[in-house]
Amino acid sequence: MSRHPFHRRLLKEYQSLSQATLPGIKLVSNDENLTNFIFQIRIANHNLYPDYERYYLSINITQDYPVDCPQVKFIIYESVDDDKEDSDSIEIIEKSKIPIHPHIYSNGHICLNLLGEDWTPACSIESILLSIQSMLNTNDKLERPPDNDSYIKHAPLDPKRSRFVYHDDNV
Amino acid sequence: MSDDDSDIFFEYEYDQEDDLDESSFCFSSDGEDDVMFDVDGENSDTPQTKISDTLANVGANGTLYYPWNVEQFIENKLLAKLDKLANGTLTACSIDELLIMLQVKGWQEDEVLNDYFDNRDKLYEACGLPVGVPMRNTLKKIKNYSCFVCCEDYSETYVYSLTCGHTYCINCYYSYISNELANGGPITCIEPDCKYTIPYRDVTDIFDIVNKTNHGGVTTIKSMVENPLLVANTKAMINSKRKYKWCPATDCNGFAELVGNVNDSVESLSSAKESVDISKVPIVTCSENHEFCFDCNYENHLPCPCWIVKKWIKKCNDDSETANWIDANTHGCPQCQSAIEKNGGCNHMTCKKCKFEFCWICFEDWKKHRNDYYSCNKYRNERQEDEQRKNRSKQSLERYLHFYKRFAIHENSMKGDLKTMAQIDTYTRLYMEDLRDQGKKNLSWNDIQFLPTAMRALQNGRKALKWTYCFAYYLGKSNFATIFEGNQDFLNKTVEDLSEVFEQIMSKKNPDKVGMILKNKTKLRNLSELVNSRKNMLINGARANLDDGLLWFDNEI
Ligand SMILES: [Zn+2]
Ligand SMILES: [Zn+2]
Ligand SMILES: [Zn+2]
Ligand SMILES: [Zn+2]
Ligand SMILES: [Zn+2]
Ligand SMILES: [Zn+2]
Repeated sequence: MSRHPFHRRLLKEYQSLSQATLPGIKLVSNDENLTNFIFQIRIANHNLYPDYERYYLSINITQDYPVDCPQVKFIIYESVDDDKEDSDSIEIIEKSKIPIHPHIYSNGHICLNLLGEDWTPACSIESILLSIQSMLNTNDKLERPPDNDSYIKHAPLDPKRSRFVYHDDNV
Repeated sequence: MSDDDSDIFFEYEYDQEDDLDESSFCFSSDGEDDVMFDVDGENSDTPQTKISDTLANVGANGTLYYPWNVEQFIENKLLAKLDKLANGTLTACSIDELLIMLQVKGWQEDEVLNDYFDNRDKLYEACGLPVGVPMRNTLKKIKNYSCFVCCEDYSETYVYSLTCGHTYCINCYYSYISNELANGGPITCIEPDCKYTIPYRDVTDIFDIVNKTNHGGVTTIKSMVENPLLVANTKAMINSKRKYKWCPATDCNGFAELVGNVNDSVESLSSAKESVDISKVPIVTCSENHEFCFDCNYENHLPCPCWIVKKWIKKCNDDSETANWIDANTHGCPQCQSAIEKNGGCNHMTCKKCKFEFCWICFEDWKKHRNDYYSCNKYRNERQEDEQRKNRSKQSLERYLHFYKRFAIHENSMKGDLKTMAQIDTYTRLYMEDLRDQGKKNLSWNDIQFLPTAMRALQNGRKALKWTYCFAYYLGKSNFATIFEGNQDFLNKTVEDLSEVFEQIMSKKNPDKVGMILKNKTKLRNLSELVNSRKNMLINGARANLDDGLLWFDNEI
């Protein structure tokens, strides 16, 4: 595996992210090359997103990062519940959910200006995390995008290949 | 052979031929300078380079258009507007400011003027230009710099900033701009939410420095027409407006612009959906003289109307005939589904794979046929119909393959012709350079000017011939279809004759290639005239007979 051309920058971002200084955001896993990250996001004191719910965001750094923005989507993350009392009990596998939001499709794709035309190389993984967290925090509608059904039927695997028409930003 | 000069339909043909008389023929559209054969500089003022607003070319259907390439377009259209503002009404603005304003306003100079005099500050703000302060863009070399974007620590590097002062290293700016160019719009400061726009000249400077230091390049962006921002902006404009169409030829950066009321003409073109009036096919050319159809954006496909072309291309892509072919010749084994091809006449089949024995007619287990054929015969009528259907599809397949094969052969031959002609071009050019170096001059432009004309005739003749097979495939049976086929044969023969002469010139057996060219001068000239006139005769005949209802396309096909 070859190093990313912007390894130094990724290293710097990684160092700050792994110190877990962002409230509600936790780095769950990453690869050696620092190009694939999974983050856990928690929303506190919100009537649509319960405190116990954990959402998982996958961030893939493309070869052209940071000129090109990363591939970002919510994923269904399977975690083994390790709070079991005795070792013989059946493992409980917990599946995370894709948060319901007017800009988040049920396949995890996110319609967000920052991940499209508003991206510049001065934006970072941290700015993505914060902006997605705030997008959930400020939401008051328990609904999917209006075109959810038709979108997920034809959506490419990589959300970056979708040309989103950005929904109004006031939601 | 006489040619119907009075026919208005072919006005564009002659129009081009005129254009080409003294000019060069460019077979490879790779931007090679087109001064081949220009030994004496006699073709220094070729008509095709004279492009003005008042002189549009006339294509088929009286279609008015301009043949362009990106550089010519920037020079003659965009920079002309800049000139008008810079030297006329807006002398107070810098070139950088004017270019940004023009780009933001979609090159509508009137809008720039109106908005400027309406509210200068508002316009400047909308354009990402500094208001109330002078433009303070800096591109400078500094020591010991850490760039926030790439996180590199430079002992020395160029950094760039706009009036806002947000500073990043030149490499980051270079890759950022290169990436943003694809959008074709104005490019702002790297800092998120900072709206200052990067001017054209800065882009040139940044690109020149990076190319020189990082890529060891020595080429610099010499003129405005090469400015990456202007080029990207132009391309985006061509892509987004209906009056422009790119030339479909491989590697060609030429395009055509329709003149006049584009909506009307584009509407009238598409409304002629299943029209058989092929004089409505809007054939235009790019700056390299590649002929193409403005409506469907394929190469010149006469004598076929656009809708037949679409049908044909779809048919060729669909591959549906192959599926029919398999259906006509094979069945799946009723037990294991593996494909079985029937060669002999016996209907008692044994699957090679699973050894299942079955009846080809009814697909039932062969054991059931041992004592009585009732179950098999009962379905016989239906099965017979099925067989008939298969025969029909087999016939239609054979018919399609007949035409498709010839269509494909000529398509390949066009590529072969191009190769031969490129060889002749190179060879002739080297030969002439040689003579010039030796101070000799025994071959001039006039001696071989017939060559590009002959090459063009061959390409266009072959192209028309190729499309006659698509035409013939959909043609309904009639006496006039036979006449059409006769014309097709005529054209076919002359095209092959002409092609052969070129091949003989480049043949390994022939050491004196230039001598051979000169020896075959009359032959090449006559043959290319013959190809042109037979091509025109075929297309004119097809047009007239389609008009009169003597030829028609069979909807059943
Ligand atoms: Zn940098
Ligand atoms: Zn700035
Ligand atoms: Zn072209
Ligand atoms: Zn067409
Ligand atoms: Zn079988
Ligand atoms: Zn049978």
